Amino acid sequence: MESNVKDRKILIVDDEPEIAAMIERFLRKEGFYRIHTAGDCASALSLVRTVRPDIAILDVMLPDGDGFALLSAIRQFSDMPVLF
Amino acid sequence: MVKPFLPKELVLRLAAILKRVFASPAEKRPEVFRLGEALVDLDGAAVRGPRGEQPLTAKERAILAKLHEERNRIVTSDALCQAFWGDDSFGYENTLMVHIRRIREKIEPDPSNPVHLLTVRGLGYKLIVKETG
Repeated sequence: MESNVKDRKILIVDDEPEIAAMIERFLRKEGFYRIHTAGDCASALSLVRTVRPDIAILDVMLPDGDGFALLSAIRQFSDMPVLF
Repeated sequence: MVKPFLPKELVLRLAAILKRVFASPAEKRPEVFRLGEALVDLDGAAVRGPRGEQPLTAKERAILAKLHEERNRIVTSDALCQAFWGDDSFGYENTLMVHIRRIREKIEPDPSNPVHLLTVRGLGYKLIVKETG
């Protein structure tokens, strides 16, 4: 995999810390290292604004909303690719 | 992410998206390549050469793209037919031959004696591309 791909910033949004940690572990094993995590919509939106990730992995069910509403909010100011 | 999920699959999906969106132009598959004096522009669906600019039809472009993807290797007629006409591709070999002939008229200096798009008798076709750099 190309180095510039691995240099990309990834945001993991999941309210289950064990799941987020597991995904982060897998990504690090594959060489990704710029990884940020959020456990709810509010902190995810804040990270999207400040960190400007290149891609996000979103959970559907979050404590303060759902992933689709979060995606709509993200789309107000970012067109980064998103995975559910 | 929708649960349950396979972490490995998730990582592969993510890597594929990042590669598609962010890979540098040098890492992307070249969409323009040279065959002797002819320059094949898959992006622009055209061949430029001594005969001037000749447009490629959608099918000709797709066949050339597939052959270029497997350049210098034999691609069977069955594989080409299946790629373009799906599982119901039986009987399309003659149609494929017509497309191949038209492509040769655009890329070959002498279409009757091809040097770039070769027929491998009984097997299929091979696009000879000399790698540069």
